[in-house]
Amino acid sequence: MLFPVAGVQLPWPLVPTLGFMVGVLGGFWGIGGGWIMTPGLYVLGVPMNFAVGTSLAYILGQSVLASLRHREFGHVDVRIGFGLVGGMVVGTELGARFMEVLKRSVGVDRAVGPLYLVFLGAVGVLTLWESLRGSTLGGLPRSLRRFSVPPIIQTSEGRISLWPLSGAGVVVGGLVGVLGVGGGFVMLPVLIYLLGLPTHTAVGTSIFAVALTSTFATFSHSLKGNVDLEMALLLFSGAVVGTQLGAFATLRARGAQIRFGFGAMVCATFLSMILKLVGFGEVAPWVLLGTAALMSSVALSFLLRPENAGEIKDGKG
Amino acid sequence: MKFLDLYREHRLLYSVLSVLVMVGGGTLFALVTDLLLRGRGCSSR
Repeated sequence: MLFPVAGVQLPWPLVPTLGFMVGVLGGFWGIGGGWIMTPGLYVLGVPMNFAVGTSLAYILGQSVLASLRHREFGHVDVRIGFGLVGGMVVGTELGARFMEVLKRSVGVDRAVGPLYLVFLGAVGVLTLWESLRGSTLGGLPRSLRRFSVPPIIQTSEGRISLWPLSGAGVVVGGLVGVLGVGGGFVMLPVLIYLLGLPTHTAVGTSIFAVALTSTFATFSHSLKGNVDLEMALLLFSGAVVGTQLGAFATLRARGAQIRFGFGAMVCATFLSMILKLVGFGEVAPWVLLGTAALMSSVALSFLLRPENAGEIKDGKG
Repeated sequence: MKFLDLYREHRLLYSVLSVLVMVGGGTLFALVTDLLLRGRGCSSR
């Protein structure tokens, strides 16, 4: 199937299948999956600027769906979401403009590829560190809550200065603009550990902020010629089915199994990016797609188990 | 090639359409899944 805007030809079942697998894994781990989607498209032969832009369009659909769901549960603090979004939009635009500079100079593929390796390496090390410690950053002071330089906004969790929210937004927005990730997994620790939001509110608010930011990011990248809408829709159609199944599978899995799968997927994505960058482009898709297929099959196999079986065995969940 | 020419000429329209289609898609699927879950008695409402 030819995708004329991106200028690539891919076997058509491959695109919704990639969306389905990322959807299953995203639903299973409670993430958007942009960090699998962008490298996934890239190793399949989609130019990096289109991989980033199209992945952002896919994230827009997914985050709108998820934030509507979280709004139903009352997990969205709209004021904090809008507080974050100003900085995120600035960061996203800076990232998208940085990509334009790369297009005209060294090339997006050559620059963003290594950046992805640094990013995936950091995610892998942090995941490993967290699982080895057995706990998270709970000991950190909630220093951003104490920062009281005006303007101050009233939220569901008390009064918070707009400055730290905007600062965090700029950093996460930069990642969104350059790497084509949603940024929710970076925003989440900031909201929980530095702002002291309850986990459910942090998840819902983070997804709401990602939805607002990816609206702008999709528009900005599309204007710069980096979005293939046809490909994004095919990815999204596969992902919506996968996300629902993945979310149900989580109820039946153990916490350790979920974390192990996440670590394995980070390693496989890292390895496939290295293979692609050093000239083994024909092997790279097999490593990433093979691992994604294996992990999503394992995740789906939990659907055959009785609900909460994992919780009972694991204790911690 | 006609599509590509249209795309190049109307990039702004394509960008607006991209946002509307993806937001609409997300909203539509949220409504559909909500209806399906409500039908099975699983909705939050």
